[in-house]
Amino acid sequence: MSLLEVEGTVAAYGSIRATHGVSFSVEENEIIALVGSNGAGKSSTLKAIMGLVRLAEGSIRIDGDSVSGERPYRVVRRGVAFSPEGRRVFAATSVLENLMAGAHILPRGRAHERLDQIFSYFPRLRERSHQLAGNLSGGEQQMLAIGRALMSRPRLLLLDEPSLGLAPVIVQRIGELICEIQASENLAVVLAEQNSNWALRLATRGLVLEVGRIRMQDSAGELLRSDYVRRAYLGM
Amino acid sequence: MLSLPVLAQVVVNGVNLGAIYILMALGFTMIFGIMRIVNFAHGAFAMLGGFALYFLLMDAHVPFLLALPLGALLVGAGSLLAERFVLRHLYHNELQGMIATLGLSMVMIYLAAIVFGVSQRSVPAVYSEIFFFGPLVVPMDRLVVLGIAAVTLLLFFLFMRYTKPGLAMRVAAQDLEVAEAQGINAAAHYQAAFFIASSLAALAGGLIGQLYALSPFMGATPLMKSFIVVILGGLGSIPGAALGGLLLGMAESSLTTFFGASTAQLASFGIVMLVLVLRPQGLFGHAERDS
Repeated sequence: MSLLEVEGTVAAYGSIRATHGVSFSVEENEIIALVGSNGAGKSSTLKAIMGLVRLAEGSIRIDGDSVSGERPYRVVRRGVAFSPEGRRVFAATSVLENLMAGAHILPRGRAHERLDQIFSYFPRLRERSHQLAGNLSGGEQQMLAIGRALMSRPRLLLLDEPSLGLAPVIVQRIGELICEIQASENLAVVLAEQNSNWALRLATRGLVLEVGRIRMQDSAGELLRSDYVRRAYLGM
Repeated sequence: MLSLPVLAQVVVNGVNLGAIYILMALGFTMIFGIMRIVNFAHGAFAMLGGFALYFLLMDAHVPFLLALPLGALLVGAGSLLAERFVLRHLYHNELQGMIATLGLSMVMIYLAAIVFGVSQRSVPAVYSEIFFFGPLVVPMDRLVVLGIAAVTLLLFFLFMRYTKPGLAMRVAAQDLEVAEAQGINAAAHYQAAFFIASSLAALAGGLIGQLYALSPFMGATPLMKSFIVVILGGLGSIPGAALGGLLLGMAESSLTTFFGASTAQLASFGIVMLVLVLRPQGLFGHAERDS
């Protein structure tokens, strides 16, 4: 039994279908890269797992139990966390409160313990803990968005475009942090990225999404070597 | 006319009026900030608060200091029916929400007219003592109003600032989808926010019913004042509501004293139009950003 099983999911916004039957599974303790161009259905797939968009068809199971059509707050309680595209930190709220909001499902004492742990991964956030999140730099906001998602002690972390709009040196740093945190917490990570090269280098496995369907699915190394992926996504 | 005692009296009255306006405006701005509904029924909940206090005092003989919060909480609990059957379906739908709450307000007002009758009543004064601080005349009932408003506002701020549901409401107001993705049950927090907002209105209504008069139509003026306060302070801003309420209370108190009540009303609405034209985001509000 896999940690996450996604089967034939069709994510829909009203009557518009963003994906047309996506199936994959995520095992514990692995990083999966979900690559594809803009509009391929990466975000919609993550949001369908979270319960943030309507699931028109298909099923989503966590540890074998269906969470299809569940409200997001219930999915979070099953151990899934989500860092949205464009970071979407709570701008008018302090860094500390952003993190505490991420620990909504934990009792206060455990939230404070977790806070210390998150600050040890992101010392920058500790320095800035009393500033408004809206005043952070793009890279710091991305760290905050990831830290906020991690606050709930998830087993599965869904990251939507964490490299978007960041300088290469920051992107590299964020990649290192994702690997470090993944290893120390035995996390499963799904990394939806347009920056395919970067994402596949971090990941153990990869999925290539095209117009709402999975086009290829293989180990990250194989995908990086594949002629198709090299031509279509890596610009080689 | 412009003497120190007169000025001091203007301040006392202004702070008193401001405290009531803040109680009204906080709930109004909270419902807009979190659920994006301009709640035209907010004044009707204030009216119900007035009647709840009246019946608790007159028929149930509950002591005033207990009757006031009890009445407010009863109205808050009753408001959950309106939340369940009307408002819940309209969250984040500003236009429909406005029209539906306007209808809800009419239904509540005319139901009250049928049940309670249209004759004006008044909540009898519970405190008749008058204090003299030097040249300053302060009736005890005004002090009580001020004390109750101050305690309520303090509790409200502590709740919003330091509790988990308070934080959840603040972040849900900023980005609902992301808030839900943190494990926040938005529907439950909306219910709680609506309960708090209606209870605050009902509390203000009780105080208004005691200082002024009680009738099914008494909610209209406090509703209009809430509009002025939140336009001054910025719709959806809690500190803005606090400052706006105080500002309006002081302005009305001084204008009434020096130029009469009509001028005061005219000026407060005139100022609102001026603010809307010159600084539409309110004195303390932020400009709306596209999302």
